[in-house]
Amino acid sequence: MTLLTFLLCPLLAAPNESDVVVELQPFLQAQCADCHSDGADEGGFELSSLTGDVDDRTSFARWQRVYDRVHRGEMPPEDADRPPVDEMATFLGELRAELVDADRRRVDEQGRVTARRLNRVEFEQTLSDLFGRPLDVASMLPADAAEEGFQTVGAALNISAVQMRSYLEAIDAAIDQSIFLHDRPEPRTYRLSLLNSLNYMQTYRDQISALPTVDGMTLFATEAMSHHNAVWDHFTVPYEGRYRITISTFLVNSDKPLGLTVRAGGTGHKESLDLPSRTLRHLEVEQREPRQFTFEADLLRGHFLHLYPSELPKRRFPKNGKYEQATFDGPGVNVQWMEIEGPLYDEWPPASHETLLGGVRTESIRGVVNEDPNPHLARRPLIPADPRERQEDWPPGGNPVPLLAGPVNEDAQFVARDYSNRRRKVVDKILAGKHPAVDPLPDYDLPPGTPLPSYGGEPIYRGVQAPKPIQRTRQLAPKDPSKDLDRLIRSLAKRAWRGPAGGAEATKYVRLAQRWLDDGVSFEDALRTGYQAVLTSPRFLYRADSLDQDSDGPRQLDDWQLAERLAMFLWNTAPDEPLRRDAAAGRLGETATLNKHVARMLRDDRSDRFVRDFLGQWLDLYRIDDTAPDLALYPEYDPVLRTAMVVECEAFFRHMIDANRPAAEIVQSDYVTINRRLAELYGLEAGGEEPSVVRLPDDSVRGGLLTTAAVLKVTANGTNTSPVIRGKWVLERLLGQKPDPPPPGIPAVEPDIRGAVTIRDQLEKHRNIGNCASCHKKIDPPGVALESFDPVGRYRTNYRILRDDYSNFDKRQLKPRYREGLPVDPSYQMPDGHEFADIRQLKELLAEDEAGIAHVLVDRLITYAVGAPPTIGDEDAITAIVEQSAADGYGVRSILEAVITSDLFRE
Amino acid sequence: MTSTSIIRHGSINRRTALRGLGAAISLPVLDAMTPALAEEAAPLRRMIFINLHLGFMADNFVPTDAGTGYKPSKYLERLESFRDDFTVVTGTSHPGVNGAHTADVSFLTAAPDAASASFRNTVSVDQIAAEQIGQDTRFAYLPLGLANSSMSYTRSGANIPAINKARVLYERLFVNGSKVEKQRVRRQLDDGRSIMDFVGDSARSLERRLGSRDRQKLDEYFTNIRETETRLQKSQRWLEVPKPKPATKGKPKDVADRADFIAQIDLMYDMIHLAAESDSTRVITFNQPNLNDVLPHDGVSQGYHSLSHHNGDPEKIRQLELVEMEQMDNVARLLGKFRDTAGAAGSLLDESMIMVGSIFGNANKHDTSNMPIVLAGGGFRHGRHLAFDQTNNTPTANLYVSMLQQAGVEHEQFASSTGTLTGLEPA
Repeated sequence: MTLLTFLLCPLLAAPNESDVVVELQPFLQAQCADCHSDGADEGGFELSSLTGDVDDRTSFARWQRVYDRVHRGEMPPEDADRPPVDEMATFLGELRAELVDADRRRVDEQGRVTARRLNRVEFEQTLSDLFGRPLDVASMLPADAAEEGFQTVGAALNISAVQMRSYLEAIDAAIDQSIFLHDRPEPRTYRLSLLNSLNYMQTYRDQISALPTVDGMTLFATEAMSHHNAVWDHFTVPYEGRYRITISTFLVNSDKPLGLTVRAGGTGHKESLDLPSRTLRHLEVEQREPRQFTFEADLLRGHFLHLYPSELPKRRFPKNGKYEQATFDGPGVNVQWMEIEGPLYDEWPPASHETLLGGVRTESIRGVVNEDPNPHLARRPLIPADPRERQEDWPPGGNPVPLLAGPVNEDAQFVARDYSNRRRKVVDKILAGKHPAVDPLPDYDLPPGTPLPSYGGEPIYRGVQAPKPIQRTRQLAPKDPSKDLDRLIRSLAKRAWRGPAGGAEATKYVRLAQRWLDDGVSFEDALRTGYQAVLTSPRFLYRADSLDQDSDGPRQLDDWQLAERLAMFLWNTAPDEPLRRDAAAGRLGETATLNKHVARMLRDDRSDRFVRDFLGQWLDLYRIDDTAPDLALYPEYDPVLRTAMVVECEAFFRHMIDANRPAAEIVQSDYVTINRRLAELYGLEAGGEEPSVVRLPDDSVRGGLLTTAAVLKVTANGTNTSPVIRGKWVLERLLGQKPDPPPPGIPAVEPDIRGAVTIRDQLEKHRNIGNCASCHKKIDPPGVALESFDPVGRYRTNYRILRDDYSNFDKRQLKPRYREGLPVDPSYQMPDGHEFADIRQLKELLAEDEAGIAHVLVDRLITYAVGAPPTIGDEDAITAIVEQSAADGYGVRSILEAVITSDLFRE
Repeated sequence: MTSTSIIRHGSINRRTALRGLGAAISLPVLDAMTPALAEEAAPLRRMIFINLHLGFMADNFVPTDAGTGYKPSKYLERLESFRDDFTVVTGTSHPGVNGAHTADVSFLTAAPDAASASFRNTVSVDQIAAEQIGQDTRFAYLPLGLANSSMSYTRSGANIPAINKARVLYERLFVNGSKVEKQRVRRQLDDGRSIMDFVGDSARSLERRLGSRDRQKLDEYFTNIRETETRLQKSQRWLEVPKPKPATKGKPKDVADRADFIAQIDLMYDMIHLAAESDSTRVITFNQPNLNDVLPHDGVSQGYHSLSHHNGDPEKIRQLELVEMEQMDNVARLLGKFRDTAGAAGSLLDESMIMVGSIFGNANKHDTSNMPIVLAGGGFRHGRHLAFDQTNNTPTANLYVSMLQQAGVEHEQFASSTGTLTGLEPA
């Protein structure tokens, strides 16, 4: 028992005889007692709350705080007498030694990490890789708690009965998503046009921001103004699977590229609201000539496709019957057609089915048919890609119905009215079933993009419903159920449990399922029970590298644990075969072998999961949608920009790893990794949807993760920015300092963007309250410098404020609702008094401490990878890792390697 | 070698807590399912907690005078016909709770400093109540909301996912599955139980190889496996009991306009009423999260959250007022439904404590002091404004302790409470 290492009497709780007291007591008595003892408890801290038991975690934390604050020079405060330098050094030295010793004892006795389960992200990914298909189950599990900002920290990952039950449900759902007991669907190809969307056509003459053209539809506004029920011929994704989508599109009235968002499911699609919405792409439409984009996407049965130019503003045309869309000269995107091919399967049944039901005989069920949700498309003539290429006998079989409207007429108003009257009658007939569901097609001899004011040719479809779930057309008919059960459960257990194969243990799971089978339960239910048991066993749910196998002395992970920690760190999943091989052979612990795996794993695309998950937590990128920018103030924000922001950070960190760029580039770099959309926001040049490395001019305010739009967005609240919130964030996340929470009863400082009070004036006042100054002199400098950026990451010299008369604006008018307000003053001084003029100079000052920035990165990486925040006893080890990478200029890749081969990682 | 003190203390607390939980759950189930037996001792009480994330503008909410003769504020005028059925509570807050919009996770837990990196949530008051007064009903508690997370947090501080679709909730409350479906659910529950049973056993073998610290951590796993089993067992028994008939006919239709959060909240309030009226549960939480939808009502053109940061802009304030009035009217409709429904003795409102509030006293400044609170029903002496000090707030947890005690839950202390809420007394 190593308690009561030192106590400090008579100041502190209890008497004691340790030598340490003799040395610490006079210092505390002389320096601290005035404000922190005998009933005085400034800052809510009293010395008697310190007990001598540093092995007690609460007590340890208090002592650590004493150490930190004295060490950082915050205590004793500036206005008190400063202790002599050598006394301070002695005190700190003694205290630190005690804390480091206690910390070491704790790690030795308890291990570094508290036993922990997989978090949601790991659970879903590990299960997906195990089953062999991307699963959608994370949202069924309760959100994970975080500690030190990471959802990988063992102490925060508790198990509750709610959690346990969610696992059972999630595993059941995962099995449902993975087995395919219907016949292989034939891939089919449809070419779809918005011209064939009833709702577009019914309303386009009023206000909708779309213009039918001979070859397609020109869209003039973003999602909010698009027609949610305009779902491409009412095409419904017939089967879950991978589809190849080709979209033919060109710019209208614009030479500036525009993003065209393609989405499946979600808002607006009433029919598929229950399905998860997926933003598939933001296609970069760059030219006035038609161009085809082809990409593949995983879609769900029942998804509808939706498409809109989301960079364009909300716009509505006046409801005056003048059909102003036809003469509108603003920017738009014409979508000629969309072709969708699929479902595409590499094999049938898919790999996940083989994993769970491989080798089990099935037989066909008579009379069960899965209805095609797109019967209306079977009879429909195709819209040609280019009208000039249309077939001779277009439309096939000729037009059954006479034209409703005349040729394109200059007097659109007349035609429109005439059209709509006559059309209404036909529509009614069609809906009543008294008329064939296809009416005449337009005149295709006109050049692409020609407006179609008198168009009246779209097919009408009656209300389309989301399809019923797939029914099984085959059923399981195992020849020897027991044998299949035995084989499948063993096989899954072997791969699911991330350790040496436990054949004997698997037998018990087989027996469980067997017992059900014997009781007359169906083969499938028995098998599911077996699978659920395997996957709720701690051998699946718990991280093996967090479970200690013996309890004496400092513990090194064994090879299996190391394999798991590494695979979870870089891939968010269980170890793959090569890792398992080397673990089984006991070779993984060798540094050379380990390095070989690290290099291999970082080359693999799966390491993108690390980049995404680590940044998602470290930089709060997972919270990018937590606040929605006020579009009256920041109309620049749109979904294309939002995606570009996150992608920039991920590409930047990826580049730092791949090119082994210095860690200091977290704060300052002479390049950025941006795409066209972000280049516009930053005032730089870049093209395309994908980011590329762009050199910065010397005087740029950009460069480094610190000034990425994503970081600037997650640190703002959508309407305004606060130097305190941003400053605290930078301090915690990038500079590794933890300012204390504000004392109770202090009003929050919020910018008054309307009034004449600058945020600086408010801060000055705030800082003078009580003992706020000691923290604020550190929090405020980065926060003040970052005032040069608004909540969507745009550089600003003045604050924007809403115009007084904005509420009188016509909704359809697009003129700005804001005006320029007070100027931003980003100049300030560092805690040491060093002055800076703006963010550029601040970044230079911060970037000087290369080792310090590397230190924070190592600390964050260890917390994320190991699942426990480093403590004071680990500081030397972290410094050693940092130094190891110094030769490479603190390159991020070198840091990663040094982290993985360090003792901290392997304990 | 013994384990260090911190571990020992920690696990004793946890284990004691869980033992209490286990005891509550393993009441003889047959008894537990016949509520009549329990009613002899104490009147039936229900607890309903409603979180309206952005709260209310204080100038329009807080009455200028205190006590029974208070003059209703602009917003409270909307509740005037219920004057004797509710108490307005001002000048309370959760000490140390801050962190802008993240702070609302502490609405029912009072856990401080939600935005700090080391934050971990604690158990919410409804869960404490559910452990005791939730045992006699089909659902120990119902965590409702408009998004994925509810206001309810387990003993380990994990968020309980919300039921956020009225249709789904309705089915769980009132729709008896077909025979086949029932069979399937029965099978699933059976499966679940035997899996928990089995996994618990087989994990024991793993436990023997572990060090003491991890054995304790795994203890949490075992305890929860046992509890999961117990809960599954309970669900299974209830499966055999036919579901009640709803007071109103027809399944609810989900609100088609996703921006119309007022209609969505109103629909959820309907469901809260149906759940209480059918005695499907005694504990309900409802979470209206931070929303930035533009309410599709005349005169409103900006997102709810954008409006809340009005910074004194008269136009934004005008629009926000419209939204907040609608919120109040929703509350009035909810109270009306409860008052118009007969309970075991008196009205359903007399049985049900309905607490409506927000973590923000001033969302414009993310100020978490002076939480706006309306407490209706539940057999308290109402009709007054309990005005606590606006600068030196009383812990809101005191109100929670008062509510727990009113529900017959023996609790002297909860989170940051310093006692019960002065001036709030049973009728």
